[in-house]
Amino acid sequence: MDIQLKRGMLDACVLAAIQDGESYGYQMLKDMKPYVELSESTLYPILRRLEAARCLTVRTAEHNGRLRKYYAITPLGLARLEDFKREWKELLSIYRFVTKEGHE
Amino acid sequence: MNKESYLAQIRQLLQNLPEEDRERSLAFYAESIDDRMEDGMSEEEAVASLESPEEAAKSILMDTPLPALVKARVKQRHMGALEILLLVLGFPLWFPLLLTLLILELTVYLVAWTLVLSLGAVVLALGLSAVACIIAAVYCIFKGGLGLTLLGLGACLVLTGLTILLGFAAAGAGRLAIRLGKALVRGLKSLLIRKEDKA
Repeated sequence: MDIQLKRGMLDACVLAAIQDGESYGYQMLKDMKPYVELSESTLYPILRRLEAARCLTVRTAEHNGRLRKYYAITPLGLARLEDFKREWKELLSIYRFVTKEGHE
Repeated sequence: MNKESYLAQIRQLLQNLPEEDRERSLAFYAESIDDRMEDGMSEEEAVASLESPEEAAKSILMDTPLPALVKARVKQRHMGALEILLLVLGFPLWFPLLLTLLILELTVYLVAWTLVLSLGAVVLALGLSAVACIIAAVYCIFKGGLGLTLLGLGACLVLTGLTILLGFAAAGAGRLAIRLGKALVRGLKSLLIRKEDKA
């Protein structure tokens, strides 16, 4: 698959995993698992990229006597997610046309 | 493999990265292992469900900015006397080759941007001409008569259309040039990382 395309999709997956509230790495992977299986090594660069693009914020909090990082979506991240949905709506309608039955 | 030796292996592979970057990456993997154990896995299972330390290190390196990567790469070489001698003797050979490669990449990138810039200049010229035509047309209403006024208006419309059309083309070319730049940097990075694996 086109690398740029895949990147955009995975970015959207990660943003979607925190759109209803903050979460942490392992929980995000578990939430995504039924739909897309990501590894830590894939997730980590995405999180850093999205943080640098200010699409999410990171806070460190104590959990069971150790530190855990929690990721929360920003308005910019939500806007990015909306863009993604709109673009894919267009693409899906093109896809339906391409695959529809009864082509000559 | 337990958590300690897993993290130690990644640390070893990333030893030349700045400490802050390295420790932040390691903390991410440590947290993942802890969370898996909390979820009911044993320490061994948790480590086994992650990628190998080599793969983890590689993806961290791919995510490192190019200048930091080059610095890390230079620091990593521990060379013997023979290697240094060969490097010095081979200088007339490898240096021009390396330089050629870098200049070639730079040239491709610059040519791409030159095209974008010249398109931009054309768009600007067309836009300015459109403005000039409308001014001329207004002037002709008072001084030149109907024929010249219509001519000026028509030319203005044509030029405006061309400006908008080519404007889209220029914006598209700009986006392509940015993607080309990113692809070139990615290519250079993977060149550096692959060599690291062999070392």
